[in-house]
Amino acid sequence: MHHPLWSNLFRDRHDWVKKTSTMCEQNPLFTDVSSQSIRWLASRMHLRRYDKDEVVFRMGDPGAGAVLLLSGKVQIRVNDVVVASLQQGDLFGEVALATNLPRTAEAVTMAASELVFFLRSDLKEWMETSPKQASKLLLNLANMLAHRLMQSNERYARTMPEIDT
Amino acid sequence: MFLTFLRHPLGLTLLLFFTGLSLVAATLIISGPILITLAISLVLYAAMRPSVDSMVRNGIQENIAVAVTMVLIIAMLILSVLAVFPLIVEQVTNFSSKMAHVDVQLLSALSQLDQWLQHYINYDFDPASVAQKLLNYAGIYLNALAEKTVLWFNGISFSLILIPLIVFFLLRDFNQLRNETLQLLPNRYFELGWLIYNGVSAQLENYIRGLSIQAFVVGTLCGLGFYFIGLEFAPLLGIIVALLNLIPFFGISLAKIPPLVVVLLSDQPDFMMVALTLAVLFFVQAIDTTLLLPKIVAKSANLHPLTVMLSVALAGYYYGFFGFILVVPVLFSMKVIFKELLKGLRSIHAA
Repeated sequence: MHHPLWSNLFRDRHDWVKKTSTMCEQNPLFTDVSSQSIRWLASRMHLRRYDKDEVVFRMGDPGAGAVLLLSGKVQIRVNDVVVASLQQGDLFGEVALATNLPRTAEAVTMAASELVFFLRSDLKEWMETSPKQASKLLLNLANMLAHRLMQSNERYARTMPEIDT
Repeated sequence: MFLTFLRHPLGLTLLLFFTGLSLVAATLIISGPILITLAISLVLYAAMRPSVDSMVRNGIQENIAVAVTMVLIIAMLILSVLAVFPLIVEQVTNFSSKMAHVDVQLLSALSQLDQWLQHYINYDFDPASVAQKLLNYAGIYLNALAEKTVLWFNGISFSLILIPLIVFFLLRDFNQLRNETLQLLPNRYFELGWLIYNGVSAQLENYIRGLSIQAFVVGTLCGLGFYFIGLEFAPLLGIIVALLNLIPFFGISLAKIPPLVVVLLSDQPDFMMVALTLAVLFFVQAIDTTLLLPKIVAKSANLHPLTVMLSVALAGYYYGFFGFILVVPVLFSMKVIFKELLKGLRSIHAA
């Protein structure tokens, strides 16, 4: 088992940055964002290593940004009910890119995992450096959140039919 | 008992905060000889960072942007020293020659005050003995000041080499250094660490920006005011008043001394000039107190007056002028760190 302090400090930066860039390019959040910008942004992200069954964040925790699953497995739970099982390349906790509201679910690793944190402060720095590219990401984020709102409204309408009457 | 205390967010916050504070205090003691050099370097770094960011925004590579900013700043410093140095030499020579017959001028000013008091409130004193006492006090104070100044300049000559180097490396490597430091946090507190860092840096940035605006406005208004009333050394006095005014609470009184000394040491000191000088100072300080302080500085600092007053007195005692200036930002950072830490740990414990 690796020690989180040393494994987080002494790591091969170029290797995971390249892998992160490739995964980001395939993620809907980065649609239309140039590869060059994605590489620049990935080089400013933060790699963390987690053991199996380690809590990434709990419901109600303050959120500093989104998390990309570089390797391993993560489960998203709400009140101990599993709502999603995430695989390599999945991005979660994106709401924290837009606001500092508390986390709405819990994330727990199901295997030893490598997670890359894309923080709100990284996004802000990027917005100042490349506002045009950053605005594309913000538009994608807005689309993503709007879709989720619609889905949650639909779910709400399905489960609470009496509210229409 | 102790473990129960640590399970409570406030207990954990206090433990983490005071451990951090002890580490900072130990670092301050160890780095004592270069503390002021480090403080000046950090202030210069904060001032130069926006220009590097702006160049990076315009597509210039970060290393080149840092090098260009450093070259520009050093060139500006050399040019301003070359331009200002003869002026300062001239003003110091002028000032020294005035000091040679300061006793006569002081006696003349006190005699005028004596006549004025006799005329209006029927009170008189012995101008000669008061002048003698004042000169004795001033002599003791100036000797001590001269010794301190020599020591300070010996230190600053070393700092002049060190400061550009520190600023250069801070501009080039600060972000990496910060990231690597925050990487040391355990996974559970990684996001919280970043949230605290971002909260503190954003508020500190606002505070320093506010302070710079305040110093610029006060310095410019005083310089212009002194120039229009015909006071000697107007630009220099403007700068001195702006710097002294940065000292919380005591600065507002201290800032009045240098212009009044210059009036009293002028060829013909008269009370009209004293009144006009005070009028300029009161006018500028009124603008400062009513417009600048509440809107720019105090709003971001938000500290209790008694805390500030006691801290300023202690910091001035231990660290001199720089202690006076830096105590509020330091206090303010401590307050923000404690609040953010407590808030974060509370939400983590509640989760």
